Amino acid sequence: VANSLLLRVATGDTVAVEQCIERFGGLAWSLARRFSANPSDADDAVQEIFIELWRSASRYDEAIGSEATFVTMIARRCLVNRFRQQRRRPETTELPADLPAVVTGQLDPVEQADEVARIAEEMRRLRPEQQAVLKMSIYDGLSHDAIAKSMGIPLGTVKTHARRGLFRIREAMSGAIQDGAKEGTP
Amino acid sequence: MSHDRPASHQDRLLELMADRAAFGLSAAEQDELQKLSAQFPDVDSEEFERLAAAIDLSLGPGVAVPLPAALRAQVSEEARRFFSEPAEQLLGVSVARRGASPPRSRAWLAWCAAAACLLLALAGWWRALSPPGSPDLAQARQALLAEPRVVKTPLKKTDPNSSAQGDIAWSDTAQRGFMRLSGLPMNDPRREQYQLWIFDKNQDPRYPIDGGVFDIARAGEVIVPIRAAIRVSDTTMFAITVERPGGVVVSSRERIVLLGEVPNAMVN
Repeated sequence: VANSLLLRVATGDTVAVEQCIERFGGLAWSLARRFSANPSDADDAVQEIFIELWRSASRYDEAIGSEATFVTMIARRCLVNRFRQQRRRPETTELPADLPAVVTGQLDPVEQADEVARIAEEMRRLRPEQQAVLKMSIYDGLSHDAIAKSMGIPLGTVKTHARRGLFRIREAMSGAIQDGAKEGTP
Repeated sequence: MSHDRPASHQDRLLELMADRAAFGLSAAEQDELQKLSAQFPDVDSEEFERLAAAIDLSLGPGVAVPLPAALRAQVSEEARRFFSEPAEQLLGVSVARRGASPPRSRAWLAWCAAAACLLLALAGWWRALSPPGSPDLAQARQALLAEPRVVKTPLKKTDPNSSAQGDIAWSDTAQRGFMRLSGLPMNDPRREQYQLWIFDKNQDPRYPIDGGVFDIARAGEVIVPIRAAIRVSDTTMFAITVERPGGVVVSSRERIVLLGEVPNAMVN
């Protein structure tokens, strides 16, 4: 019997499906709100995210990441594709303040703690400009053009910072480099 | 294998993976990524997207807003609908599930084994009661055709030597539709899958709407439900392409097998 919630979902286990909606609904909704221009878009995006999750659940591999990371990856891909098909980048847009913003609790802190804490630590070790570009692109959803304007640097430099930052974190997460051994830790 | 390929190609693949994770890719870059991914099947193509997801989580507040009750109910209802679909797969057509990847987990294989047993149990019953094909899908298609403002479009083969043919019934109003196909070669879903594209008057023709990935699992006529990725408002054309397993976001359109333009006269 699969222990992972997502692998149980992949078998069509209806209890697991409801648990999955319960556990990750808030996460999907938070991401959709952050990447959507209006509540209607966010509603549609959440439904699309879950359909994609049902389709992809069997690909989840607990050896390479947490379920929350997998769900976030699927959600981000949906959101990027969705807004690309609508011919616009998923620029961050704040939704109206009357939307519910009640904090319901941590996203499974036990599961996430280790992986996310390590990533956060590696982010802190990046050069400030790499941190800034990754935050603006990944979290704020800004295009490289918008980042270039915001930071007053060329487009190519934006891409370079993003790539170097991601490569460094990738190497660090795979244990391939020693702290500060490459690229001059600030 | 990757060691036979220039290292610069693998470096470029990693750059594109990083760019996709950080910014998304243009259609040309997406094509390039697909081609390079095919050259380096041992590269984990999701690695940077996973990293970006973990970075996203690390930058967030670590808390979630609740899913509104009405939306939660809709998600549950969609889930019930989604997981009731495998019955359609038992009828010889792998249902169009957009972006679906070949099933790999043991759990999924177990489900497939159970489904296969059920198929065997049902096969005689179906044969006794029904002509080849899926009666419920055929009936659903007929019911759709009876609705007002349904587009019925013949599909034309692009290869004169092919025996592929079919038609599409689609309703912009109901956002539902069916492909009726015959003569398409059966595909190995581990190698390639068919994908439907819907061209919309209000959509950039370079980026048609994904209508779902599907397989042809047997000879003869098959009916495949259409699953549009986003709302279709004014259909102008349909195209069926052959793509890598799971389908693609933007097709290179290198292997178009059937095409159908929507003449106004075909709208009920």
